[in-house]
Amino acid sequence: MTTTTTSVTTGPRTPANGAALSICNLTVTLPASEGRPAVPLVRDVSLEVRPGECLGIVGESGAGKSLTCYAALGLVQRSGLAVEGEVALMGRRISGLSQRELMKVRGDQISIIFQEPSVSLDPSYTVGNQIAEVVRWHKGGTRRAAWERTIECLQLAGVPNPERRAKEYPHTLSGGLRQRAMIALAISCEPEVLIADEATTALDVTIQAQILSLLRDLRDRLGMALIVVTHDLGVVADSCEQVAVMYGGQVVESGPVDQIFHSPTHPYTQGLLDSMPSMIGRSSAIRHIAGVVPPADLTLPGCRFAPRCTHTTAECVAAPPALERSGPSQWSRCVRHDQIELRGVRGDH
Amino acid sequence: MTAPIHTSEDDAGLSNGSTSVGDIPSPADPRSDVEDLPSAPGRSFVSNVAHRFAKDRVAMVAAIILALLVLTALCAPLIAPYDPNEVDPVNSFQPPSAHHLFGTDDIGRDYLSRMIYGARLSLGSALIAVMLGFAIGVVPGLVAGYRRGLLDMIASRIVDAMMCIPGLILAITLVAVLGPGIYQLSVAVGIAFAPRFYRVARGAALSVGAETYIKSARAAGARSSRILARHVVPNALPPIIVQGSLMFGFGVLAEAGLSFLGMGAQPPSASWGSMLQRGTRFLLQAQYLTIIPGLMIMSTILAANTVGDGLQSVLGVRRTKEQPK
Repeated sequence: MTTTTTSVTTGPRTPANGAALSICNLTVTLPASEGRPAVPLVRDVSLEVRPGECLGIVGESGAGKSLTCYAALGLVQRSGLAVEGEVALMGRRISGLSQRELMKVRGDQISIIFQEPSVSLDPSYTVGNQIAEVVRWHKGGTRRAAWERTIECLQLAGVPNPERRAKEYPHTLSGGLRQRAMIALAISCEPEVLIADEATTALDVTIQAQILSLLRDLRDRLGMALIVVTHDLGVVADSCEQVAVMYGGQVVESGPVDQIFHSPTHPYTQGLLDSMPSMIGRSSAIRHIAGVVPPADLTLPGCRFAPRCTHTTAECVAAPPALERSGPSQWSRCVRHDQIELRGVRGDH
Repeated sequence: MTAPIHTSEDDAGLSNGSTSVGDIPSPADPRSDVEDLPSAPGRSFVSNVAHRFAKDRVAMVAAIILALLVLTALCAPLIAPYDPNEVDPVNSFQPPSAHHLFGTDDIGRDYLSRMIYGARLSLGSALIAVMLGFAIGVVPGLVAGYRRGLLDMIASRIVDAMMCIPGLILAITLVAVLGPGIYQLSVAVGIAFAPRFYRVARGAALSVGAETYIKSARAAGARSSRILARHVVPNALPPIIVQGSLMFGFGVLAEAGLSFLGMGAQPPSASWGSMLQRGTRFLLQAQYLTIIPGLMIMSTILAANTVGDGLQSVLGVRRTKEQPK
């Protein structure tokens, strides 16, 4: 497949290998300088998301979740980070493209929504102006057509009274509305993949739930693949089919949401599940994972989670573990995944 | 500000309450508009700023004074009661009176007319200097601040080197090279101003470049040049405008200082600085010859600074302590 057509389609589009976005062995490194060795920030991450599917990427701060997404879009080279690995969008390799080529892809076939809706829109222009601009530079056409498309997108994103809102400046909108405007901007060119990078974190819980259901709804309607980057397992349980758990720049466990939640095969995943407040049963203190994430520049001979893990043995710290199959379509980066007994979430979640 | 009107469509058919959150700051949404400066919905940034500036009385008065001065300079031939260069030795050293509001100087020229024509040179010189400094400094500053990297490093080191030389000394050196005269002086002051503009522009571009909406524009597929022109420039402009209005005051001061040293307007043409300088010769006989231009220079600078301060608070710019000399 050379270039994807950008005509209006609603159903899922299936390229040759079936994935809307596939990231293969992605490594992001802060290059060595002045006596400091190179620091790997994202280590050998492979992810895949199919059209119409929702993939959740979870992990605590500094796990490399967002960086993985930015690197896949070619957004980190400016910061001087070195990126290796293959990224393919609808079967077309985009990792080797020049910035000029990538510009045509970004915003058109792949969009991203950021965490802070309050600062994601340029305060100097009206909301509609900014969306119409994106539509025009990707799709061309007249101002009028772009404006109509803008109103349509705002409507799709659940912005009430879109004609009026489009003419307003971002600071006059509430956080929830701004995020809806950002979503309108992101879907304005009908992307194949939409990445929501902590898109609901800055919003209060009721708005959070609305934005999540809007994203799910849009995914179904537009047939795009959705990647939800979050540190909130509740969000994942709510809206994703697949999940990848990241820790220390690596994917430590991945698989379908149900399996991961009910039978985790990596101690870190269990730790995350344990630290979730539960509405079921007696209320008890929330368990937390002792210790902190090892700094990215710390070289560990074995598993990066070993210092915080309660199941650590000599085997764990001897060599870096590989991602192994730990169940039907479930993968774990724990050498002892078949020896240890891990608890999942019981009951309905 | 006026409460936004809630139309019925506003809340109809919507499962969320986010519409009302934006209009009524609610504790449930910490990111609501509580922190924002008051503004009516739909009003553009520029009209908002103009509206708020008009409410700042002191700045408004200063702006009016400045505008009157500029108007006077522009209409000098219409306003001036006498020819500024008409010599009348019989009526020299006339103190201010009904015939000569500001009196006459040592060779009997009407001082008011000379002040009015002097405003042309003094304000014009400051304006040229500011525009030149702006033209030379701002674009490289914005590009350097946005692009960073090697280009920024080279440009910033050159500017650092220029900043090491005190502004006045640099301007004197430049005038020595270019030769005395009001235009040469303006160019010299403009060149001396450029590093200040560069720094402010670079700093502004640097901070705007780190904003999420820039990242978001890049993620939406915008070209670098487009981001610079459409998103960085408008958002980086406020501090540069403030700097420009402050620099205008310093431009007037620089003209006065350099003319005082005999590097500006050459006789017989009048500028406030050269009049001040000539007046010092007669400090004991006719104090008004120094007091009048001195007061004009002072009040112009004060007005320019007050306007700058007003703009600064209206545009929400934080100024650094650094002041040009």
